[in-house]
Amino acid sequence: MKEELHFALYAIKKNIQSSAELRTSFLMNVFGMAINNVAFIVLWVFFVQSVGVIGGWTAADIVGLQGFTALCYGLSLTFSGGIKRLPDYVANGSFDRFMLSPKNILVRVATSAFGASGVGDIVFGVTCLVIYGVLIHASIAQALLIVLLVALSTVLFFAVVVVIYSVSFLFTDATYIVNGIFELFLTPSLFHGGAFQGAIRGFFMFIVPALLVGTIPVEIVKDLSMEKLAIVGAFTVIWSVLAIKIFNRAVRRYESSNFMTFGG
Amino acid sequence: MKEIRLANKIIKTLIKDRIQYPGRLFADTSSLVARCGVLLLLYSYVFKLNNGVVNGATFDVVAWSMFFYFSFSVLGLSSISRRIMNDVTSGHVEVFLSKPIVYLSYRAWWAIGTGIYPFLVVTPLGALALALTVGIPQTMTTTLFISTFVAAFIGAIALTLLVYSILGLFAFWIEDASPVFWVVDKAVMILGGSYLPIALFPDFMYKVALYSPFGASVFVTHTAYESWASVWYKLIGIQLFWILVLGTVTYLMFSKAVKKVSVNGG
Amino acid sequence: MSQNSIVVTSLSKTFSFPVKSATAGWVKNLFSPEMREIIAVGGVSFSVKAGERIAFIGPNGAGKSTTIKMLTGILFPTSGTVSVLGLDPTKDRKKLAYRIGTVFGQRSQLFPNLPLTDSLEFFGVMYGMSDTDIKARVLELVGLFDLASFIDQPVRKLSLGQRMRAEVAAALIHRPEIIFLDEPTIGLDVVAKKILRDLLITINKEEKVTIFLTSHDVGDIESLCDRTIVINHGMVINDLPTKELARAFAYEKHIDLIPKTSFKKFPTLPAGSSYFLKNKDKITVTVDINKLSVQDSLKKLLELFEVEDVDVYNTELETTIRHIYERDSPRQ
Repeated sequence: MKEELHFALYAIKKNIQSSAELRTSFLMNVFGMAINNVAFIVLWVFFVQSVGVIGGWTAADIVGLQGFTALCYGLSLTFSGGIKRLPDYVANGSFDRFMLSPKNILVRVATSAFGASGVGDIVFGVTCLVIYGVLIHASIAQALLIVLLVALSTVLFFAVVVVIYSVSFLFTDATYIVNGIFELFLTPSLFHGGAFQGAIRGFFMFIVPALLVGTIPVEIVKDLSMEKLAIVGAFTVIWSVLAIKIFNRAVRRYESSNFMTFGG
Repeated sequence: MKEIRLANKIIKTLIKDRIQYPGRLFADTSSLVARCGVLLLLYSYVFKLNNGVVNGATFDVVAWSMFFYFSFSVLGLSSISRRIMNDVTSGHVEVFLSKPIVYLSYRAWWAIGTGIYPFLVVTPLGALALALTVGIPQTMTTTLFISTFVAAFIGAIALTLLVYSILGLFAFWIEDASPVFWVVDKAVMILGGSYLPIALFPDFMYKVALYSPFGASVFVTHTAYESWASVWYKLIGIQLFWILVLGTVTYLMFSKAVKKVSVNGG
Repeated sequence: MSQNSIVVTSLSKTFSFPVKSATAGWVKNLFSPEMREIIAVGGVSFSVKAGERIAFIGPNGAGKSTTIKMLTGILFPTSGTVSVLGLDPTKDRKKLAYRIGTVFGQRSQLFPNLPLTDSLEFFGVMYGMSDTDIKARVLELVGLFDLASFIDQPVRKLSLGQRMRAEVAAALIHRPEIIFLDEPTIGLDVVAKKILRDLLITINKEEKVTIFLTSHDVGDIESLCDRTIVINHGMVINDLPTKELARAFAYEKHIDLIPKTSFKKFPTLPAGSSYFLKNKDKITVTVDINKLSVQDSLKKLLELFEVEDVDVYNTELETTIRHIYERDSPRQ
């Protein structure tokens, strides 16, 4: 286990080195992502201004939401950018080299690529959460909760991504399908949380856990709700277990099938 | 005319090509459902809280306005930027220059061709679903709407292609024009009335949406509103203005770009 | 008398690009930078007659692609004149485009997910051919290039050899008068190479298409092109029939020696000769005939070794071309 971790860190470091060499485009990536995320905040703030407080959600909460989501996305996909490449690896047969590697396959695949634009998300996410903390005059307890929740939701986010991208093994070229499913998951997590009520809220918490990434954490911090915290914790564990099981099952299936490699 | 025949052929061949990719159709549908669908759910709740009217608009009008934005985005005309950028960085643009075509119009028809199949499949289904759940607002049943909608739609296609072509053409001078692309793309998204419908725009933002080419490139979203009946000629006029201006800019940029390639290589 | 399809006179191309000066400030670097000039092509002249098969070769960076780009109108020359099929590519690029075809070994121009027929029809429309003409031409090409067995498969499923045949067929849909090929046999196996070369010879003979080929594969040059133009450092350094090329530059000969029983000793060879292969069952000696004549080398070798059999032969074209490139490399 310790060996795996050591290797993972090494792979990440190598990725960062090779990415940072393209320094200008790296900076531009970061800048671009920041713009992207700020746009969403602008939108939802205007929304609140027009429509007022809904579900107890103020403009400050929007900042918090974007912070959580950007940070989760940034942390999981920067350092494990390889997961998103899984459909490509399967489609052109390069996944085979992971199977031949002596390291844990999931770790190996995850650290095979570095998502430079994710750094922009991380910077942005941290900034938002800090601003949010200031806006709500966060207590020590709330600040600690924020940190804990970032950790939990990042693990949850990563687990869900692994499950989604494991679908890559079911098709020869799953790029569009998998990215489509990912959108179904990611997009609702960026929306104004207060507007999710009733059945929709239930769906996006327990079936597609989009709300557990950012919305519920914001509400936990606001209301110091231990009940909701327990739900997030429980589902993080559930999805993590699911992720490992599904990924391994999918790899085994890939192993045993006769996959045709295209091209000459 | 040869140009029309080629355009026709491009579109037909690309539709045929797209049909080979049912996965992509799924992606487009789920994209539409994820964004538009969830947004509509949210806003229906919001409108219920406000007794069905916000800023003078009813939910059905807002719903259709947002639907117009998202189904227009299924056309994916912004892809022309990426394609031009790729052509330039890969050097493929030179292959095109040795063929008897006008590169930009080839790429424009190509962008339409790639998006038209999912658009024609997803939009009617989406419209049907929307009509059944939300109904069709009265503003959309007038003859004025039906005739001007087509004009606004065509104008939107032309203007979108121009805006994104200009972005793509930057690749001839800047190595990585992606950040510019993101900024403009987001501007279109915000000013087009997608996640936040136009009805909820603060005043100054509405003005920017009205007079900028970014907002004008998706004016279809304005057609569902009651105000359309009184301002349609103004908006279509603004569209035409921007089409002329950006069309000239595109033409100039492209001539300069070809000259640059001819003199200094790709 | 067949006319010229390409005439190039004193063609030159200079590229200028900005260099960051370490001493100047960044403002100056941005707005009025120092310009450096590179002469990619410096005064190239040659002419090609209709129906010829030309190999246009040179080491990497020699100015080959730059010259071809000027022939097709993609690049404008800095000075000199180009005339292709009687047209000036800088003025009549579109008109010229209708009459030439291009094949890039590394770049596919076909739709990968659709059968070949779709790509062929697409190009037919692009070149303004009528529907009936396209149909007839496709049938012709299928017959000529033996495409029938895979014409209905998506292009991405084809083997590389099949795909290259398809690319060449697509480049010929509009019956061009000249076809420019850039590394068409790269990555192909021996059989596929032969098939492609034979096809190019066939269309050259039957449709009188002028072939202008760049390649690093000596087999392409030898079997396909009767004339070779060698370019290096932006200048034409040789322009002669391919057969003569080997003869003109072969200053190396190989001599194979087969022993009566086996070779036990390998003594120092006379000046001007060196061991190429040292084996108890066979020795190959390379002789520089500028330093040591065949007569003298045979005499000396037969004094040194007891042989059963002797074989004297030229080096291959490959080595000859390498010598041409090396001889022309800049003085260190």
